[in-house]
Amino acid sequence: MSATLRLALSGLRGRSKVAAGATALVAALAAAAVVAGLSVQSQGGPQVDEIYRDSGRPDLVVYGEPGALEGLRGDAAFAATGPVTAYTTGEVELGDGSVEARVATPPPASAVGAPQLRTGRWASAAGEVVFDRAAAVEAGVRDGDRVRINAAGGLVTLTVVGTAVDLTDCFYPDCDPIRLFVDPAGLRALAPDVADQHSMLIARLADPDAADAAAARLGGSAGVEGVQPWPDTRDDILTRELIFGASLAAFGIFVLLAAAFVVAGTAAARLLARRREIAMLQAVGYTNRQIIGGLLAETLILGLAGAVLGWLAGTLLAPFLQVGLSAAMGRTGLRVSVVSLLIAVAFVGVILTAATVLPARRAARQPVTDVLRDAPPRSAAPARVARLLDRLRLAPATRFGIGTVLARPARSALTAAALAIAVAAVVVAAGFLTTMDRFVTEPASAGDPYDAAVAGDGTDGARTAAALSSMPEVAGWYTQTDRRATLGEETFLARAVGGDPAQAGFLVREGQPLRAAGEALVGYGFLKRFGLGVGDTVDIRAGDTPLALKIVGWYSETEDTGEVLMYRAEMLPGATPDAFLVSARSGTPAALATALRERLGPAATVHPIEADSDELTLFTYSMLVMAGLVLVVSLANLAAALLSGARERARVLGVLRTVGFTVRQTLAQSASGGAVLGVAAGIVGLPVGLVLFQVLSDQMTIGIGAGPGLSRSPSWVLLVLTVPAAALIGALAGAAVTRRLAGTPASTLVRWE
Amino acid sequence: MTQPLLRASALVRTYRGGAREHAALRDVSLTVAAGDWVAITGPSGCGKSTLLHLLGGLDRPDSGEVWLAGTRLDDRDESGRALLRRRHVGFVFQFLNLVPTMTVIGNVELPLVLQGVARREARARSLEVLEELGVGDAADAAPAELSGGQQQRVALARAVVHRPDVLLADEPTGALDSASADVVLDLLRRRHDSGQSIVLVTHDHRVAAAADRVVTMLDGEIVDERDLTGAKDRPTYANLINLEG
Repeated sequence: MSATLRLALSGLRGRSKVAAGATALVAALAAAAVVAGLSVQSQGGPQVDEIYRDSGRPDLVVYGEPGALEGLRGDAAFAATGPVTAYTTGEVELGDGSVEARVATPPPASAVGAPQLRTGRWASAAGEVVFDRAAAVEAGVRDGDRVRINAAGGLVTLTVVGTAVDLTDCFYPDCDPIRLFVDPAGLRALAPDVADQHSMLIARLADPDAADAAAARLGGSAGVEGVQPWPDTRDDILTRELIFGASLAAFGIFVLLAAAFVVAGTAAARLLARRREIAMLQAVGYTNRQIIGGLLAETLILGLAGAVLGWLAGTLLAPFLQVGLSAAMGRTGLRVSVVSLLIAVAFVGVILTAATVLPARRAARQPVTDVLRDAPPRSAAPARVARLLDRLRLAPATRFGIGTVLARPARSALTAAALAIAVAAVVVAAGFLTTMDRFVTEPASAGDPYDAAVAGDGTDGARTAAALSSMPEVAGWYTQTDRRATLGEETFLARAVGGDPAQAGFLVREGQPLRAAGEALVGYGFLKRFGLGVGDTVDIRAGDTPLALKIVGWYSETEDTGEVLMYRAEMLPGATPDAFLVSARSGTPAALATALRERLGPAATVHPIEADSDELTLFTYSMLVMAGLVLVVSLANLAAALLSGARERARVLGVLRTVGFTVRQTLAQSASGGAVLGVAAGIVGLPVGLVLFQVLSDQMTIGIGAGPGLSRSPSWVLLVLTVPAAALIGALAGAAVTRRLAGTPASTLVRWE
Repeated sequence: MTQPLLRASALVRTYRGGAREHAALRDVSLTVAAGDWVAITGPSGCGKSTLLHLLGGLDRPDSGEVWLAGTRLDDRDESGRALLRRRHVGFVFQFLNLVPTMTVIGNVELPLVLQGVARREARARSLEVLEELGVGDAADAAPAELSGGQQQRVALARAVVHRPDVLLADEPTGALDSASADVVLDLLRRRHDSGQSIVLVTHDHRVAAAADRVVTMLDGEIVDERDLTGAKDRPTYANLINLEG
């Protein structure tokens, strides 16, 4: 066995099991956080791709007239198509409200785009329905339940006999309508008049990479109302997973940084305690390189064990951290990735090496003779610090506590830095939660500046508009008509907006609201995707209508990751609004919805806007858990650093006790030191946290298409309390770790080795 | 009858480490009168330092009593003993006596500050003692900037600055070269001449011979006690005992 390895193993044997375990645990926590984040980011993709393959690769979904769709089946770009499928729309009662639904007969299982049955069986009688899997999980609908559907044929009650996943759009609640499947008799019962039925065609392309180009080309064909390419749907399905995973991984970096400072601090303390042993080894012939190598190997062995454990924990945890996908597709299975193991080991290895080498070099370069004759460690010491503190009129305990912190500036800085990272993590987490809360409580942040929606289908638009304008409960309204549109060879969502959108409260971030024909207001994602800016002019095709538009501004929109363009409805004459979006003068969305139902009659389908906060719960808890993790690691480090510092000073504490320090003063001196570290951590961590929060939150809001600058800082109360709270935590930690020493007889302390 | 300054009676102290026990003191009694200089000597591990620590209230005996200036010390808790030490006791150890993060003057004035003496007065009194002990110039230095002998003089200054009833010294010259040891011994002698009571633990017979009374310990017991007051040939006291081989 090499001398270096022998030294490393001897060091491991000499460590207390608790200290060794703590180092490995810190490495494990950091690795687990990073691996979980990376896994969440990547685990959704393969799962979605698998079901895409199982569904026969549905690259395009084309909506339009049945005849036109039949004509498209022979298009050269198509490798295969399913049958032209009839569907109707309706409202499904879910809980206290209702949700828009598209009801179709399922194509044969082998057809392109056939929905995938998840539970139960397919409907075989008129009174049966297969429910959208994601919506069923979200709303707690189970096989055997009875649901009520309000469609053209009237209110029908159906029995749920199964659930299925359908890839024609992203999953509820990110996308609606939800998709339901009935047998042909069931469809006829829901839409007895063929005029109430619509058609769609699902196609597999010969070249899947050409989906956007094909969508752009077909979108302009006669009789085609819209085209949805699979890449857009896939992106929409995975957006939340990507953002959530990135957030987890970012917090994992926080844990990793905290871990680095923890290891550096404990390594410095441990090496100081082992200085005599190291000098003895040097005396018997160990070179500096061997000493450093041995000390580094000792830490890396623990780090490697921790990284593997953390990788395992992160891998096991990742399936439980799915956002959005799990409802539709069930939890993903375990995905064991050697790459993530290598990344975890590399991250932990680099961090631990950086954290160990410097103190190890210092330890190896100490004057051997000084150590062997028990001379106190040389330090740059505290002559200046001592003189400075003498000038301050501090109580003896405070004076001593602060002095000990300042006497070892490097180690104190490491301890404070670890705590500062925790403070920053808390600030970032609090900011994220505040920003999330904004998105939930201010629907305009997500591009939905209304309180209730009235479905346009089956209503007389002019009558509805007149009714809305006369209602005292209504502050304003606008209409929207969605079309898949094309710009060049790429497709996106274009929205014709009628009524008075300028008063609708869209969150216009740059430029001006949409006022006149020829103008376009776009989402940030649209500008980013096409490399455009406010003031640019674009020529698009909305359905088969060519439009020349000047971009007058951009607004916050999260639908289709912000790749949305709004223009005036006057430019799409004859189009029926998909929905009337109504703002309340006062009162809740539910109250407005009730008033609208009363005014517009039972035929009108009205939905109050609902804050989709359930999905955010996992995100919120995960943020809090990660911030808590960083905090725990940092506090453990603070406690360990203060404890080792107190042990190093045990003899001095004994001397102070001989002079007359009481137990309380012994505790107070340590609390003072801890408080100073806490204050330093707060002062550094607070601005760092705010800057990091701005950067990360901008990345997040840009990622979801809403654009930068939407973040909302944590409450000022939290910010004001940060530094005092950090000081208090430091003081409590200081007092806690010295309790045992404070109770130790002074005679033991003055004999302390 | 005058009450003794320091009285220890039937002290027993046993250290326990796992299953092993070590009887450091076995039924030790000692009385120190005001103005006495008592040297406690004996081989390593005989219980000298343990006895000194019990006398100064740094530890509590398993049984027995310690009375200091008419107050029972051993039944007080840690803080209670600390408060008594502030007023009545000064301690000097073999090395590492000083608080490294405080200047010399900061170290010396500490007992006064703890007693609540005004900072200005504490500083003046501390400087006075430092001058008296020949280290006044080093008042603003950090301990690490001083030699071992200087540090020990500063420790002595801190131990006497608040005019304690008794000075307890544990091998105060043990880590010094002979010249520095002579200086410290001379300082102790001068403090004693001015009325300071001293209890001193030492291996050094020459230092022990400077005391009025020499108590010799072996295996946790006092095995010899001699009064050297008026002895004609103190420096040769070392020749009288031969217990440390």
